[in-house]
Amino acid sequence: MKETESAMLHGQEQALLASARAVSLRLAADQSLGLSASSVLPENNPLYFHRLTEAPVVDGSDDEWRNFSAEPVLLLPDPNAVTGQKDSVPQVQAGIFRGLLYLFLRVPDNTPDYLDPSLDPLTSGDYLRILRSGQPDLYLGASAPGNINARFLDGERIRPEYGLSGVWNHNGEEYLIELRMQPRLLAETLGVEFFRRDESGGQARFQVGLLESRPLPFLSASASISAALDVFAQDGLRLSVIDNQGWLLGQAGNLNQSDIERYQYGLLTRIYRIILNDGSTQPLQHWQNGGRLEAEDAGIALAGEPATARFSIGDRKVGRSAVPLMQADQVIGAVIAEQASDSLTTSTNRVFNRLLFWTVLSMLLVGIGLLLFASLLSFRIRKLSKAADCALDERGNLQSSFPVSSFNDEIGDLSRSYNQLLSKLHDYTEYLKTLAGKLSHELKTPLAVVRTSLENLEQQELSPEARVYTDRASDGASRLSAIFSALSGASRLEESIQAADIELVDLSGLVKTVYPAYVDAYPDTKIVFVAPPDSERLIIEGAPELIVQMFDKLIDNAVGFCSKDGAVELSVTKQRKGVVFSVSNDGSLLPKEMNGQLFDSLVSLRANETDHLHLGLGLYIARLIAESHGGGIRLENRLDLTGVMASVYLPLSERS
Amino acid sequence: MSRRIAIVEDEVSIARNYQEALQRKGFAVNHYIDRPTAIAAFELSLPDLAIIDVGLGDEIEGGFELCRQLRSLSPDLPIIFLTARDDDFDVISGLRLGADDYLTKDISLAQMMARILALFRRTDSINQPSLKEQEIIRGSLRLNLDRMQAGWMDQALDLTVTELWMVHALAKQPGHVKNRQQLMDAANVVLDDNTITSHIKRIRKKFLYLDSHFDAIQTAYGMGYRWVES
Repeated sequence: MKETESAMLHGQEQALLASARAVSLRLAADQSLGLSASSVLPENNPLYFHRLTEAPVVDGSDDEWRNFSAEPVLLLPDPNAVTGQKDSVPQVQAGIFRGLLYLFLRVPDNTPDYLDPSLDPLTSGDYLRILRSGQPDLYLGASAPGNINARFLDGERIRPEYGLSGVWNHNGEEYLIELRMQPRLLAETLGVEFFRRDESGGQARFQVGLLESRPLPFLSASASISAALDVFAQDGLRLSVIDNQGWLLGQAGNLNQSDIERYQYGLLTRIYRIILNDGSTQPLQHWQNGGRLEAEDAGIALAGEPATARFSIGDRKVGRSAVPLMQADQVIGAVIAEQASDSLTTSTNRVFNRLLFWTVLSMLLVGIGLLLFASLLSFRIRKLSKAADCALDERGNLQSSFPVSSFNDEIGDLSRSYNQLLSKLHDYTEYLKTLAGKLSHELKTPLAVVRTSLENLEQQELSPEARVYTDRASDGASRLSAIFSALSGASRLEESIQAADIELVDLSGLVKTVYPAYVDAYPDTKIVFVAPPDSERLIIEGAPELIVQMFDKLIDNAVGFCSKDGAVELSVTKQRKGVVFSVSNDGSLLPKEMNGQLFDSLVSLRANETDHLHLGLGLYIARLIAESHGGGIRLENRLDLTGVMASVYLPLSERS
Repeated sequence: MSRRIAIVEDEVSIARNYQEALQRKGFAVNHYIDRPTAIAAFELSLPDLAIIDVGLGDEIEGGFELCRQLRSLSPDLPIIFLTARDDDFDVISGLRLGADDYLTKDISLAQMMARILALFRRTDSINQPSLKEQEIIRGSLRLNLDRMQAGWMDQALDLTVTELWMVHALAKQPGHVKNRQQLMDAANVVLDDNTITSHIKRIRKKFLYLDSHFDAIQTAYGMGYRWVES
């Protein structure tokens, strides 16, 4: 931003220089303006008439003068003619409006000393004298506060001059004198003297516009020069012409921008200005109020070289260019071009605003885009993660359906790889599941070879020692045979399930029927049946043989794990949409790490192999049956941790 | 003249073991290693009984094909499938092709022998007057273990040897529940629970084929099966 501004300021300087140069050439060429070198030195304290913006009402009050930009000029005491009080120097403000000259004097005097017409109508009190070259001096004084007229000496006679009139007032501390002078009274030069008497009878003499009692040339901004400058001036651009002593000869334009240009207010503008204002620039003086420009750049210009400078007005920046005004190879003045950088700030603002707008917009768009993209990614990753979580159910079974992403990116790849992995895992799991069955199937033939061979061997004449070995071999073969039979039986169960005839079964009735059989079958264990209310019929759809087979397995399992004096409890309870058959037994609890695996085949918790053959197929078969009936099976510790409970959930038939 | 038994089996050891065991019982036993050699021999002269493996060398179901061909040569020849395959589907396929029994290879030689003798009794009885006194009659059911024949409502019931023994075990004492072990013992087989269920199911179907109101074989859940006289 600073760079932008710096570049623009540089451009502005160049532009200002160029326009100042153009103006100077134009003015120098115009003879009618009467530009010439001036000899009025500022140290001579000349009187400068400012161009007023309105006509002051001549009433002896300073109302208007306080608002005018004309700075008061001091009336310096004349050292040669002072006999009285030198302090409390009077001051004067001078202005010109439409050819009329206005003067406002403020003369401190605690003791007003009015004219005594009987003594001397012109000089017997405090009085004012206006000197002009080639013209009679004009005397102004009052015998009482109020309107006054100028008078002059025509030989010995005192004559009134009505072209110079005014009001002479005293406010208790000072004289307030306001005068108006007709243009016809103007001469080349003009000087003002005030004579003040004090209590001690002494008289002080204060002068302005006088050099060695001769009036100095009359200084004022020229209307014609101002008009000529006005052609070039515009809003925010102020053009001034000074003479070779720095006196302002003409001015046009102002440094205030129109409201349309300064459309930006508020925080942003303030921020820009704080950023752009590095504090290195001098504040711009209201130099024109004093009627004279005394500055480094002006000095350079008056020495014949163009110069530029920068100032600030408040938080605004002002660029100033000074270009010498040449006439016949002589510097007769300078053209000063000043431009406030409000327009610059505005342009910088606009540039910066546009930049800011597009930056913010693009950041916003990019941000939203990124957010959306990130959300999409996170959504997809979450979906994938969820799917991966759900790929295995709580028992570790692979779910067949895995949502495959169609996106052609890394997450899509990941999803597809995952799916591939899962399907391979699924195939492998399936293979493993059927492996036992297949293996037993394949092993049956060699086993048959062994068994038939042994049976043949038994027919031979064998020594008793050999008989022992054949008996052992037969025993082993039988056990192998039983194992294979059980394995293939379990693997064949699914076929049986598919072939099973589905009928409506009253589960509570079924349990009631089989309960006595279990009591008979396990005489050493106490088996309790908590029957549901008789009225309740719990109809499910299923194959009763399979369901009973499942009961067999669960009860056999429960009895096997039941503690010595414990009991096995059967119960059938209705749930909202299903029925739960549970078998619980007192005894040791489930090891945590095994839960879930217990329903897989060939997993057994039984500590020692007894005479009873256990392949860990019971719960596997029970699970297959429960799942084939659209239900599920759970094995968990009892809440009071006194044993284990297996619960089978089976959905109630909707047909009943 | 000793009875001739043909064994069609690609597993030589098993075939030899059976051959020798059967020879000890006085049977003349021929072993054929695959279907073409067997069928070539059968076309020259039929054996009195054939024991066939389902998978024969490269032919996965060569035994079934051989059974079909053999049945076309002789409708009465007893045929036993002896196989490692015990899927329900294979059992049904084998029996549909007209086999008299379907046995898995884990059967013992003694159980095999009992079947062979029973089957010979059945073929022999065709040419002999019926021995009424050996019949068991339970309502509409007639069972003759000597002839290995069964009938329901005066119609012949086509049961395999295993099935016939099972029905006999049930019907001998109506109302008594026979558990699975008892049924297996009676039928001279070792089977798992589901295979017994399959057998019972097949037996029921054969009865239902003759009599759609048949429900004499009832399931005693958790215990076994029983014969109920109507």
